[in-house]
Amino acid sequence: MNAWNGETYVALLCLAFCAFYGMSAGSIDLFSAAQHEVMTSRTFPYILTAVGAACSLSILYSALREQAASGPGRAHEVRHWRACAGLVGLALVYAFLLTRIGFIVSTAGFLAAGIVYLGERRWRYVVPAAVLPPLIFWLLLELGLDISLP
Amino acid sequence: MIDGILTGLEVAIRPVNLLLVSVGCFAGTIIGMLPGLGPVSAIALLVPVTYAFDPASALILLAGVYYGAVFGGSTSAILLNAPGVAGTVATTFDGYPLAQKGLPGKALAVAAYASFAGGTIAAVLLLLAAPALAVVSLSFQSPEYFALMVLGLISVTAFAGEDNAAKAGFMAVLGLMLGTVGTDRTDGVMRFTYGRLDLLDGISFLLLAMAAFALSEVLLSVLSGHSVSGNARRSALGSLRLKRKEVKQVAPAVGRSSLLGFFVGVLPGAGATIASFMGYSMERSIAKGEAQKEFGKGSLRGLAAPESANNAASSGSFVPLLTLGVPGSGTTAVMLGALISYGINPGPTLFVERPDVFWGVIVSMYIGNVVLLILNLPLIPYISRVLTLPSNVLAPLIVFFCLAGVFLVSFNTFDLYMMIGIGVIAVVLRLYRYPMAPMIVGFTLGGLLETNLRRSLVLYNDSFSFLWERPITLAILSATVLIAGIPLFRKAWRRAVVD
Repeated sequence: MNAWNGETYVALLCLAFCAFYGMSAGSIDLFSAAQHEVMTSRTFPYILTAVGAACSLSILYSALREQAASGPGRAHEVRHWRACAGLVGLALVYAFLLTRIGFIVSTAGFLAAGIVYLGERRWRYVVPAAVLPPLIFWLLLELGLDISLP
Repeated sequence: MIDGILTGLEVAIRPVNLLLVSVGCFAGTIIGMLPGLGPVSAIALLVPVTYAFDPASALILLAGVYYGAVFGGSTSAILLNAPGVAGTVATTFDGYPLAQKGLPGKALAVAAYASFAGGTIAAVLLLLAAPALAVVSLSFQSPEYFALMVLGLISVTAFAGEDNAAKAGFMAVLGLMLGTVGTDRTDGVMRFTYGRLDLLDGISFLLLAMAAFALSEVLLSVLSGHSVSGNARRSALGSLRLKRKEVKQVAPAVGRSSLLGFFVGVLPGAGATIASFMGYSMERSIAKGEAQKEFGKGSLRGLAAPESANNAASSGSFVPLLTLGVPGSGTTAVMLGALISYGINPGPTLFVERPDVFWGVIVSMYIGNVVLLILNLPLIPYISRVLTLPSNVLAPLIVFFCLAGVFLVSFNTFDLYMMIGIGVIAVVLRLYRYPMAPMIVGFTLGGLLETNLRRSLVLYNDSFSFLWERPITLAILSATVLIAGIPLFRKAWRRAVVD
């Protein structure tokens, strides 16, 4: 049985993150007066690196052991990763366009695209859900609270 | 204490605050009803709205949202067998069978009355316990605070479950790590900003909470294809009334479970989930003969026990938050983050410095229960229609609320990219059972933990002797060691039982 599965890869990523964090902690600039203190701005991150690495190794060890004994696997089913990735992509495009084409247009576009992309084709749902929220937000913020939106 | 209660009452019954608690309960019920979105997500989604109000009103709104979301979660558990959060899983055991028997209205009414009674009993206990604990903790200094924060972190980790302790520990550390990003509070040096001005003030708590809970929850539901639509039918709820015989049957169970729930809730890290399961198990083991056989098939006692324990534990978890500044759950961690962002220092001084906030929240928690009963219960047939909205319409809407909530606070698109990134990472971590609550607890406590450790070292001339020389610090740390041993103890116990 292959010992390397998602569980072990995630544990390895956690360990790699701790190593990266620990190395970055070493490059924190210290004031010259602080160099001789017991606890500097680097100390706490170093402690966290050590504890985080210990936890990651423990998870990795358990993952390898559970794999040998056919562990529990993933907590959720992964059936629609394309739909999820598409929604994330649309959210990134929305974040990019928000300040460029304006709040109302970008929000209505994101909502309409997101709803249609996820499979809803009934216009009685798509149109109100895409148009009403940006309009209500705009009215509340621009006219109600005098906050300018892009 | 009477002065305090009157202060709280005066704050809580202001028209604006009554309106806020009602709106909070209503919004919380709708959000909490959507499977997957529990109290933490509901509160995280509404934190940006609260910035428009003074701290007391903001917290009152959030308390309303909290109760509403807990109640909403029970509604989806009863009607759809879809518990919004772990705390309402035990509600499905008897709530859903009751709904299947054609008594959904009765099941919802029992859940509402039991929640109300649990909340009422817990509010009275909170009223008595919180000030007493706050007075004792006024003598606390940096070493005690440091020890308390370690206790909070270890408790959240230890109660995550025997198999999940290492993952919960890692998530708590991850939260602490994310909390170190930005300008160091003590020395003023930059840490982990990588030259980006956007990171000088650190990662926004709101961004992290929304990404870890609400955004990742929606993405997970899209990923797994669990659709709300199709399951929900607009069926008649039936009568909401209870017969006298049924009230007599349910009342003792509610009393017992409320007391149990409150004390479990006070323990940092234990929370509503453990309380609801304990309440259910206790009631089932007390029940005799036919009553016991009825459990799991639509027992009113089986429904009332976890509901009252759950609600009482929710109130109980406010004791360590308000008196010690230590959150015991994801929900109270989000509340703590909100408090800090309003410029309020949670902990014993809150009792002295901001009595309006301290007492206002306690009293409004009770008012929240009343509002829930008189406003939300009759509206349930209408509110539950939200469950008939297609999930492919709801998902983009919730993503929009998350993004807009963060953007409207900072007006910085970098925050949106970071939020989406953290949301995706949270999805991956949650797929492999990494709990999010310890991360939020670590994030909110991280800065305070480090500051208090450094202050303690200054007080003791760079010596760690404060860990054993101060009796209260030593007592708290000893309790921490005991709690840290819980997973090991459980494992040893299980082995002994198996052998």
